[in-house]
Amino acid sequence: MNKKDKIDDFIAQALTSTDGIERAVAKPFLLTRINARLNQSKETIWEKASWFIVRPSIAFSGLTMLILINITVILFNQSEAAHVATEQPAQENIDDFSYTAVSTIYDFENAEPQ
Amino acid sequence: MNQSEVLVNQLKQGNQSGFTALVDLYQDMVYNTALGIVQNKEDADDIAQEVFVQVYLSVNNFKGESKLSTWIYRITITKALDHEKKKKRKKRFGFIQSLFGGEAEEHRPPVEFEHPGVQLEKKERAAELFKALKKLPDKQRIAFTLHKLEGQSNQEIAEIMNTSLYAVESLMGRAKSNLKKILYSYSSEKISVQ
Repeated sequence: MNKKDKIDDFIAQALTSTDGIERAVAKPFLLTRINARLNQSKETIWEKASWFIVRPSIAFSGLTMLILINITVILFNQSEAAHVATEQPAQENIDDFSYTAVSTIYDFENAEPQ
Repeated sequence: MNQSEVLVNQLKQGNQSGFTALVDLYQDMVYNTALGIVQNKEDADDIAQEVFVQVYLSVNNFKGESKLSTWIYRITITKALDHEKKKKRKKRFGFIQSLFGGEAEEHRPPVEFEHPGVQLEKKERAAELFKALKKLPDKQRIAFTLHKLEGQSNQEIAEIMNTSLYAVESLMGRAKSNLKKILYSYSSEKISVQ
């Protein structure tokens, strides 16, 4: 038998090796294992949610988000405070020269007797 | 009303004995199909459990447009392919982790798969065939597995894979031709060693 014949023989044998094959049989007590899985999958929505939240990737992302939101709020508040501080003197000047700020007609008319 | 229709009705009504009968009837079919695809006994057992959990949870979605066995075959194939993808992803992640100095899972070389139903004198060649089968594209592999391991006809495979008879015939043709090429490379290695 030459090499080519050997190769052809090898391929033919391999391709027909599953002829007459019998079905593999599942391991015993499969139903018991399935029922155990079913009970596991019947966890409440809160149990599932807690499992989801405690996953390291989710917990870390959540924590990072929380820190970022806090930093954003603090920075925003700081810039707002600085803005108010610079605006205030100008507002005071306006108030000083505004006749509405000095008094109202009501104040003149109801001036307390001296 | 045939047996599978009775089982589906019982399941839809939440009858536990109906589920027990269904598992009893289809467990070997599911296990054998999963085993043919993933070529690992533990994984096939795991997939079989997942399949029946899925059947139990989604039986209300089964409208009876196809045979019950066809529906279960589809679930099995989907689960088996998903399982393979997850395993590959895990392997890739382990490799990346090891590159960064993390503790990766111990890498074991793939063990030659032996299907328990193969006749003793054919085991050696069957192992070569299963090794070659792993290298085929998914659709060709599924069609070939259903035909050879489950003894399904091309028409039944077409229903399971939700495709035409012509497409299945073409898949089978390409699967055989690719397998011959892969087996040729194995044989030339083996024969040159002898």
